[in-house]
Amino acid sequence: MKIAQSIRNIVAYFLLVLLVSSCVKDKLTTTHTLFKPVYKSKSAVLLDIKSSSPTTLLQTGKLFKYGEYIFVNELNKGVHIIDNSNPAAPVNKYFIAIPGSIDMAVKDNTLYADIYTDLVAVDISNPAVAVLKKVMQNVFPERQYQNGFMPDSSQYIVDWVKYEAKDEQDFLDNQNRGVQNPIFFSNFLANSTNSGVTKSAGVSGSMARFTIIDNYLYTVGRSNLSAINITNTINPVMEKTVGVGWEIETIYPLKNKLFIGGQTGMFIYDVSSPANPVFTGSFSHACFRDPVIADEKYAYVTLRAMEQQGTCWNGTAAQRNELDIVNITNLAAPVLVKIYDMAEPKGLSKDGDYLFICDGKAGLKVYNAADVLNLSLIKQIKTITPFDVIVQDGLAIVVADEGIFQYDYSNINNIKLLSKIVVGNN
Amino acid sequence: MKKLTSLFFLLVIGITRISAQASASKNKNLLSNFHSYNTVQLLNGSTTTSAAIISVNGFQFHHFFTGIGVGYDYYYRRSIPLFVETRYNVVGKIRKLQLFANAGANFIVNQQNKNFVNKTGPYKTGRYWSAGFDYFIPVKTDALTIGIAYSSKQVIQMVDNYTWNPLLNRSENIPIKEEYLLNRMAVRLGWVF
Repeated sequence: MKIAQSIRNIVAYFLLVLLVSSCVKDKLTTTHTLFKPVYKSKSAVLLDIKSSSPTTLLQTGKLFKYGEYIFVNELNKGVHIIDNSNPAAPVNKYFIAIPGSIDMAVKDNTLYADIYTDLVAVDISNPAVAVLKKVMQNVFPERQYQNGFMPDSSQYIVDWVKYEAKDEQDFLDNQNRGVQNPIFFSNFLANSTNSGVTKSAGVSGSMARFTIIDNYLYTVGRSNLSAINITNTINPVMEKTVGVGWEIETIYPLKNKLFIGGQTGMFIYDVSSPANPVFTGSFSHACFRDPVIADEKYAYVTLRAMEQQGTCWNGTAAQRNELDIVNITNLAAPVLVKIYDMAEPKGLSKDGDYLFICDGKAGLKVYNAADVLNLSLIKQIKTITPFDVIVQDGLAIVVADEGIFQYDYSNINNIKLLSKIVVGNN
Repeated sequence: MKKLTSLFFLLVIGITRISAQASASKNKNLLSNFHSYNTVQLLNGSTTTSAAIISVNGFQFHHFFTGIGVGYDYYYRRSIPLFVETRYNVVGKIRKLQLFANAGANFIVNQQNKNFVNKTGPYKTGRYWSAGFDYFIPVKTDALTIGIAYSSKQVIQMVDNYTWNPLLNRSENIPIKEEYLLNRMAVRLGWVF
């Protein structure tokens, strides 16, 4: 009797289980961090491209030295103009608002800067009264957004608002579901500084996408090289665009040659005919970030690991940080001669025998490069996290996460900090 | 939310009753009131069918039992629930049919979950609760238990997601938060002593 009662109870329980089972559902709530653009009409934005009161440096970008001034890009916001007539006491003088700006170059008192996909020419003959002279549409068409986001082409994005979005759904089995990314820009937007020196033009660092040789402004996009005639500085004219490999990041001029750095290698172009860049030679490597500078004999290439990738497209490891010395005596066939391990190398610059390398969290490293096969470390400044440097005539101007730092290296064995403009406190 | 609130009050009532009765029976040997409920559960949910083992140890006073429970739960992501449980004898003082409820935290066993290679990123502690009833089949001074329960555990993972941040103009890890609420029916088989 008791056993029968127990069996009846057990059966009842299982029937109850079957009944209630239909009520169980697994749920998944996903919270994404997204970015929403803040728009402003193009006409209003272009009207604002003028000199205004100085603003605090918040997020240092590219660096350009022109005469007594240093131009510092505020990422996606505009350009700071710093009076550097006394490097020991630089003064943040003016700010020109250029939304979406990350690159710039200056020649004959004309500032060239990108404004998202467009290029502007600004007369800065009087930096206190900068005047917009020309807008060239769609010079950088590769500056795109991802994940299907199409910006309103009649307006400019002047800011981004970060917010969280939740999505709840019934969950069956999403082990194989990929990670979904929020809206983001393409990797066109590498940090870089200008490169090279040409007459009437300023000096830039190694990570720039803009450079000037004589009367031409050369810019690199994600996979192309553009030659823009700036004979009339306030009226730039697009001459030619050529394809250059892919994932291109930097450009550096040396006389009538352009050294172009990308994630797959270094490409050398001859611009003896300025409007018609001609491919000359290349040096290949795997998928690393790659700014490059050069002298008469060697190209100096820093390769930086891509932390979010385990391997490159060809299966090699993507986690390498190094300085490559490449013999360019024969430009058609550059040859790797030496590799030096680095921590997190970015921009670099060279003055005579002295090679300055921005090695990320390892700081600024100064080498004696008289013998490229045996670089000798002279000094390592670990108090800053630099990403590019301009060295010229005993003065090193470094742009770092912490701000702008200037060092006197006229006595190479006693490099001294001259001045600093700290981010958030200027 | 209502379920959790109800469970919380049930636990509070259980604890206060035990406290009151413990003070009234301070001469009684506590050890004789100690019991250990050990169960193996078959878990059935919309995602999968899996298993868990649970052990709840505590003290019985008259109709109420309160104890601390710990387990190993294999459902979807392996985890260790840690909780407080209260039980109530439905039929007098004799253990014949007991209602129970528990609530606590759910700790993910990271090392066991590393095979889900398409998603990396740390796990966070989630919530755990369940409620149901057990039927007792006495075996000398111990008992075999058979029961059913409704069980829910929360699994939270901050999934790595390297993507471009337009505010910082660089690529960085902007994790995606994935919160799983896994609701299961459990068929329980246990031993209590």
